[in-house]
Amino acid sequence: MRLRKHMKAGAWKIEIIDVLTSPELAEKAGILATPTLSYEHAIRPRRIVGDLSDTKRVLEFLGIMPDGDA
Amino acid sequence: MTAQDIDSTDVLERVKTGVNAFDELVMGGLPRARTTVVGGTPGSGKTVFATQFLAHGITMYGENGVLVTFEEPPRDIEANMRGFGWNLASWRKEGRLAFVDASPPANDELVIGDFDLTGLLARIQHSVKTVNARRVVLDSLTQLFDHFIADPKILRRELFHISTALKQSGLTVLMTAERNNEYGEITRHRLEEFVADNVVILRNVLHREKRRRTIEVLKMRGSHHAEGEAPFTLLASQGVVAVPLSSLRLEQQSSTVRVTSGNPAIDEMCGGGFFRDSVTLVSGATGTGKTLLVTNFLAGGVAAGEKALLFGYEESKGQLFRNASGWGVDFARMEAEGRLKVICLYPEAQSLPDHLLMIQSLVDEFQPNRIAVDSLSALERIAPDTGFREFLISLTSFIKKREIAGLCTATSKSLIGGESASEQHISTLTDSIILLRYIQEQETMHRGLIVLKMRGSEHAKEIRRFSIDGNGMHLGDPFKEAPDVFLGSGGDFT
Repeated sequence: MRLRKHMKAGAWKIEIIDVLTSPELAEKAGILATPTLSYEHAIRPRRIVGDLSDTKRVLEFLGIMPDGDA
Repeated sequence: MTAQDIDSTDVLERVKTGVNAFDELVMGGLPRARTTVVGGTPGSGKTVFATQFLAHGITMYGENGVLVTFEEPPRDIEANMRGFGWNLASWRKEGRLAFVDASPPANDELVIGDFDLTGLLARIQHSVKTVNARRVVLDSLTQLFDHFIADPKILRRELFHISTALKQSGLTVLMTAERNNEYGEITRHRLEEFVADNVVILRNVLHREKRRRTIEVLKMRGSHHAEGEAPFTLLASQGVVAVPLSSLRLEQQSSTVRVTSGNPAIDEMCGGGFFRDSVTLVSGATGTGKTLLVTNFLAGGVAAGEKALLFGYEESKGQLFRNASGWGVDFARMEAEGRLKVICLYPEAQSLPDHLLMIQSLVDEFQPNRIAVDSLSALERIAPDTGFREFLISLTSFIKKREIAGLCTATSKSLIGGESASEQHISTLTDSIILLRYIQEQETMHRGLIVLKMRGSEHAKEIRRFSIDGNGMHLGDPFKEAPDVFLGSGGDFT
């Protein structure tokens, strides 16, 4: 949720899914590892697995400018 | 069944794979609630074996399954396995099989730092619950490692966790893993050390330009298993078929019933004929009359009201029929009456285990009273030594078990005498041996016949001369001066 404050308010929808309570959603999304951050981009979807604490690296990979749009 | 129930059981319950000869190797099946790693090089049949474990669970033992695929998407697997007669799609629709599709994702992925595979485990457990599964297959772990290539340590820890969690639910787990070499480290990334209670190796070795598939049980925690490699083959509509080496137990019954060799004089030399459930080897140089003896053997059986089966690996059916009519035997009529079946095939047409399975399935189908193989030497051509020996053991034990009379021929390399390579293997496996030899007497070459060995019976010891004409084989007087029938062999024949 640290990520959220670096992004433009209202431009992003973040949904948290617990694979233990909703395994069928994990199946549908093809999740193997946790935690996984899945960026459901229409053209170029991307995923990050593991340690999400390096905000700069995460946002870079997702192609999201801090405080701006991709 | 709870985890406590399983722990308190002293004797491990067995889960049948449905691969019959394989279940024998592991004393009835894979231990329940244990993890087995199946290792093999690409193309060694891992996926087929693993899928067969699930398929037989569903069709034969009422145990549903979950297939976790890391490599091919479920749709491809369903298509690939249809050739073996397994309709995965219909089982999926009936709720007897569930897939966990963990095939590589199309989108970009970045892995940073520590993670776990709770997502995967949750999906497997969800599928297990959905179809009430007892068997789980993960195919193949190597693909999972390649997916998270940078973090083998984390993966080993996570796989151990998954394996433990599944076992605690009473599930029997089979995981496949790739090997780099046929002989060498057990699996790439040494997975087996972390997750496996049992290790099974599938091999597909190229030897003398022929593929030889074998299956070996390397380790089985807390229980006995057969050691060493056992040959197997992959058959359309059946999958993995291991070739049993059951004769190693020597449990066949021995019958005292005699059947005719097809030649009264030879019957007399053998003390009244061949035993019904015995295998006789006829050895001789080319042109000494081996095929004639085979022809008499088949015709004699048919004349006595029996059914006879011939496998010819040297001559075509036309040639065999023409030869037979040259000796006054009408194979065509016998076949038309359903008393005889002749199968002619190039030895090179298929591998030796496939030949053996073909012989077995035709015997089951035709139910003959006697069977002839002409010649073993032709079959020996296509197989490396160990493969041929296994073939002979399996063939002779099969023939005896079915209580049918068998006659095999072997061609000596030298015209005068000597032993063929087949004889070295088969002489101890057959019950009787008849030698046909060219024998020189002064200026003339004659043919001689000797009954060398006849297990459990008296037999004539003399060397009888014989001639061949339009009515077949005629035995004459014994040779007066004993010629050396083993001349040129350069050693003893035992």
